[in-house]
Amino acid sequence: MTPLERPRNGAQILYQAVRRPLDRRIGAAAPDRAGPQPPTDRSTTLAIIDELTERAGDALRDHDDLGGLPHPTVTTATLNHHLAAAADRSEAVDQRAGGSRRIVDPIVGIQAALNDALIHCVHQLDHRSRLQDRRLTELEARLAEADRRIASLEARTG
Amino acid sequence: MATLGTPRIAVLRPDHGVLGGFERHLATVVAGLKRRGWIVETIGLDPRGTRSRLLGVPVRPVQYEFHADYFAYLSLVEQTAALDLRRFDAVLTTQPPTYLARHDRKVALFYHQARQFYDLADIYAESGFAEEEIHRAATESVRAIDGEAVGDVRHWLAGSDTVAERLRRYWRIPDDRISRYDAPAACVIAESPPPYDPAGSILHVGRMEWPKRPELLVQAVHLLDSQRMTSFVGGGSRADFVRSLDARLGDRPEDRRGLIETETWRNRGIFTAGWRPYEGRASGRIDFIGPVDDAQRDAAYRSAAVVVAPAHNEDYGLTALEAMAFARPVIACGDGGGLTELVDDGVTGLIVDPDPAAMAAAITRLLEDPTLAARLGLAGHAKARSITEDRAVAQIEQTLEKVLAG
Repeated sequence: MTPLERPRNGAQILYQAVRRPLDRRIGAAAPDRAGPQPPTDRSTTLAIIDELTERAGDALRDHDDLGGLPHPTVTTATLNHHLAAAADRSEAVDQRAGGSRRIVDPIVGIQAALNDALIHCVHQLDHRSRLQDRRLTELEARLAEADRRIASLEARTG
Repeated sequence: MATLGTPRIAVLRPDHGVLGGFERHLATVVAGLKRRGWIVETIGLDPRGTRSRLLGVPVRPVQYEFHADYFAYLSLVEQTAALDLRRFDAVLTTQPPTYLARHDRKVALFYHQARQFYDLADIYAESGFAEEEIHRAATESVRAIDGEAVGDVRHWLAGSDTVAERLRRYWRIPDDRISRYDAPAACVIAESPPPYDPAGSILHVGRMEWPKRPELLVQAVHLLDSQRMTSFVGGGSRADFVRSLDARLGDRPEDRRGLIETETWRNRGIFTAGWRPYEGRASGRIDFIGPVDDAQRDAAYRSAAVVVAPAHNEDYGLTALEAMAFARPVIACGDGGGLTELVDDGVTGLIVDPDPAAMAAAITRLLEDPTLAARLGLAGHAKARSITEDRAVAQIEQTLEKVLAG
């Protein structure tokens, strides 16, 4: 009997008991089995493998738990990113508009004052024009009266 | 980034409790993307998360133990399917089954399927990790489940030609959706190659797990005429089995050529029914150093004359790339998968049959011809320097941008 064929002693059993969890943890090998498994375990295991295959396929195909939708081509993360970027751009536009208003508002004020002054000037011109018209009318009336009196005098002096 | 604003990226990864080459590389990628301005959130999945009830189905411990790897995978599938990733603009998936996550913009950084249900399915059962009938059912189940969602992945960044071929073979992914991705070595690569030490050790770096096949190197060491010391750096669940094999071969010369693969690496190691550790002393030819930090690992590479990577069908072969970073020649096996892409036979190392005698002959050749060994090391150093972190992160970034734009 070679050393490799000697029966297992207590220390060896303990040794393998310690190694089993280690081996399982690193996924290197299945643990030792004490002997042949009962046929029921084999058939049950085969049935479980069948069922797991089906359920795994379902789990990989089933998108219901993701809201009943397939994966979006544009992901939520991408959409959120673009929404945030749009909000940033909108705020920047608002800020620029505010700056523009600060510049434009005084100009608008000046323009309004100029408009008022212009209108005032027009009104003044109009007023003066009307005064001059009236004066002109009076002068024309007085000229006509003078012409009439000259004509009367010439008629009398013959 | 070409996209508007700052997109949010989810990086999905199962946490197997192991800090291996891939985990370290992924951390580098995440840090690199953040440095480039991406918002990245890593979401971990727990393979030990649920046991007694999976997808609503009760699973008794005796059934779980019947095929623990399968049920652990289903636990990850359940967690992956339940993820609501709508707050992210794109998802970078990594190890299985994260590529099943529900999202319209998935990019997969792909190194492997759950391999025990794909390319390793046969030898997994043959090695005794699962009962054949159960494993056949589990394999069909995993392939059916994976088939539900792998077609949704927009683009696959395949870590090697070996894994790209698996994408085509098992899932019929078209070529225009696969790009080759080169991960850099997880160490600083000096501009000038470190000086070669012809008197250095024979070195193995890596976790001792199935099917990394450290046992093959142990066998080869015991066939060497040279008494050169061999160092094994790294831990792993097969460490005790490998030590026991070393002790046995040291004591029993008749076993050095006579062992078959089921006695060496095609088994469950210490979990093989009736296995006993060999009750002899270590041979003294191998120094089992165990897990080390980065500085100790780097020192081990510098003090090596030759690095051996005996793994079966690796996804990539980061160990070989690290050895090249230190200008050391690498010996790998013809069935080493990604290792055979990194190690160019006669240029950066030697490719041998997965046989202890062939491996021993290659080691002897390099130990006896330091000029050749140094030349192979220098070529490896140049290759390692050409694979940079910047290039890797930029490739992921460009792929994400393309997916976000489309």
